[in-house]
Amino acid sequence: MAKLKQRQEFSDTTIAMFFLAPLIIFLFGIIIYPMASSLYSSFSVVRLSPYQINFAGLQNYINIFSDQYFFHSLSVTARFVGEVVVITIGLSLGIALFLNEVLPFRGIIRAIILLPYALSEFTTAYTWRWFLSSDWGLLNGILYRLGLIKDYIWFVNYERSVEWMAVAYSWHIVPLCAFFMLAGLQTIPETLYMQAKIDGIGPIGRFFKITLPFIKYAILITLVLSTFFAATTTDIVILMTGGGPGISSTTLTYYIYTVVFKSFNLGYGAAISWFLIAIVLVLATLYFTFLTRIGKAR
Amino acid sequence: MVSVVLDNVTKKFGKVIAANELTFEVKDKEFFVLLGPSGGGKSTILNLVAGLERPDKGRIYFDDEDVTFLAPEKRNVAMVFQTYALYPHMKVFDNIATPLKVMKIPKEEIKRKVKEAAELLRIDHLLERMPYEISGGERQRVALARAIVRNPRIFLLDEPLSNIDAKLRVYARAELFKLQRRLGVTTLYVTHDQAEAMSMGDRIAVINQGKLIQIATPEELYHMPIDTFVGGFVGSPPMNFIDAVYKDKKLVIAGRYVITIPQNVMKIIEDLSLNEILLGARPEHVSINFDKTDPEDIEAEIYAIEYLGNETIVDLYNKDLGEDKIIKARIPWRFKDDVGRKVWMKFDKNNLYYFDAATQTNIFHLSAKS
Repeated sequence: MAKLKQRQEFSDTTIAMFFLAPLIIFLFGIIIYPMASSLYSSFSVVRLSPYQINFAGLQNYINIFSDQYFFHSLSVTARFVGEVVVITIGLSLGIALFLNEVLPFRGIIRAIILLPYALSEFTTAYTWRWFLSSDWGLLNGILYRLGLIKDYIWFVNYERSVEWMAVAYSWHIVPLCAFFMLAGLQTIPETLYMQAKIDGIGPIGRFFKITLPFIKYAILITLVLSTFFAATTTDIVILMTGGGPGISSTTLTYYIYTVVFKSFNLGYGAAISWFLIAIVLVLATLYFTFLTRIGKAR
Repeated sequence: MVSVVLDNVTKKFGKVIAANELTFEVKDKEFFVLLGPSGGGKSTILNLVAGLERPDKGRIYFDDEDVTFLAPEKRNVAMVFQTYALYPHMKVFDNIATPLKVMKIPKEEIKRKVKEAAELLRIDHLLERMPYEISGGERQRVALARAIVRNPRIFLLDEPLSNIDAKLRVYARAELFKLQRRLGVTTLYVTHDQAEAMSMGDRIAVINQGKLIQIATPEELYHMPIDTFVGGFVGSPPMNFIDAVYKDKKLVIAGRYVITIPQNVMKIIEDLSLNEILLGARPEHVSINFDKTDPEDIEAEIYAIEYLGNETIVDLYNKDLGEDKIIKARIPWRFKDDVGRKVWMKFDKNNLYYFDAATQTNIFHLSAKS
């Protein structure tokens, strides 16, 4: 025993720390340091060449409230998020209900439906950009060949750019959300529907009395996920519309991107970022309070 | 007055035939049990009667009314599932009230009827609870209350007692039977438990692989099983089967043990010119002696003993009867723990069953048919 003890010079924790150290350093380098740095920047005026960082207190945050572009992009984000949430919940519920039926080739159908989520946001954005393009787009081509239009349509125009972006982004995340709902649907015992049929409850009643109570959690999770995904996505805006035409589809995230990488106003960009984080956190708190309240009421 | 008639009903699921040309009648106010192994098609029959499934072939009648293609809600039947299928998000009261609410009955009347049903099943103190807050036995009674509250024409009960613990189940059986008698509603009851079927059924239909094997009263089923399947399925521990050959007006087992048989049995075997006979002996009709008392006793070795308090199940082994054949004997007293001891077993000649080995059919049924 004594000999064994002598040989074991390091405690389990020490050994664990040794193996974890690279990961911890890595995480610190790519997450904690940048976050801290960005938080500090948000209270500073930053110049890049020559590099200079001067503490400016709350000035960046105060500027936000007099920035009309900020309010414009905030409203675009709100509109974008709202549309994505509505489309995503509606579509994913529909798809989940469809997939829950006994279908031939169910496995293949499920795999095909999951595909859009397997694509990167980059691919999604470009695919939709090409699909909707006003001069060589696929959709215009199809409609023209079918004789439905005489002139090519400018789909992603000043009024409708946000909607098309919402459609494209929903197309990307709907599969994931549909599978959350499908998981919920599959917990429902078949006998409940049989019982309901015998009790004389019609299809609509069965949906509201059986299906909906069983998948309300899945719906809430979908609501939370699609809100946060949509509020924080940048790729789709940069690659699909570039925030345009004009600034019609400039979301908050895209506005931050332009402030930081086009105007090189790092401090102000950081401040808006943190402001966005604050909004998202408030929303998250609201959602989860709601979730727990429903949980208790069951 | 409600009788249920199935006329040549067939239902297939892909290649599986869940109901195979079934024809039978359930009489008014009868407690009719569908008995058989799991996956044998019993639940499909209930679903067909409930209208949850449509037959591929055949007709279903309630009295003279053809209900084959009538929607479930129009049949006014009540069903209780093994899992009870209580709506998990509704209070017990709302669960019981659901069928009435759908019928758009005035609220006061619903309240009164739910209360009546709940009192009958002694769950009136649970009406404000949620299904997940009550015990399994209570849930089962809620499901029953929901079934009786609408005054259905027919009760369809799909293994309603299987999810209750064993001790409570014995009481639940008697209570359920009394309830059925009191309400006088024609009842179809599905179970795989032969004891449940025997104790509750006015008549029992044995179903296997979608086929109707035998319809009989519990007594008939026990004393005159139509084939080895019914013989083996009804009774616990199951009937022992022993291969025998008919030779010189006697049955010969394993080439050396001779069993004399009654005149009437002999006559049937000769009339049908049968040769290989499966001898059926229920464990309660096998006795054990330490000495040979009769020339027809068969020697055996005690293989295992299960002492159950009021009786003892003794497993007997004789290599000549089959390499892995165990003969079970039920002894109505405490049997001494003597595993490995040589004993003599004796079959009660008045209570043996004779099956034709080729068709597995009871020779009495064979002779009645021919």
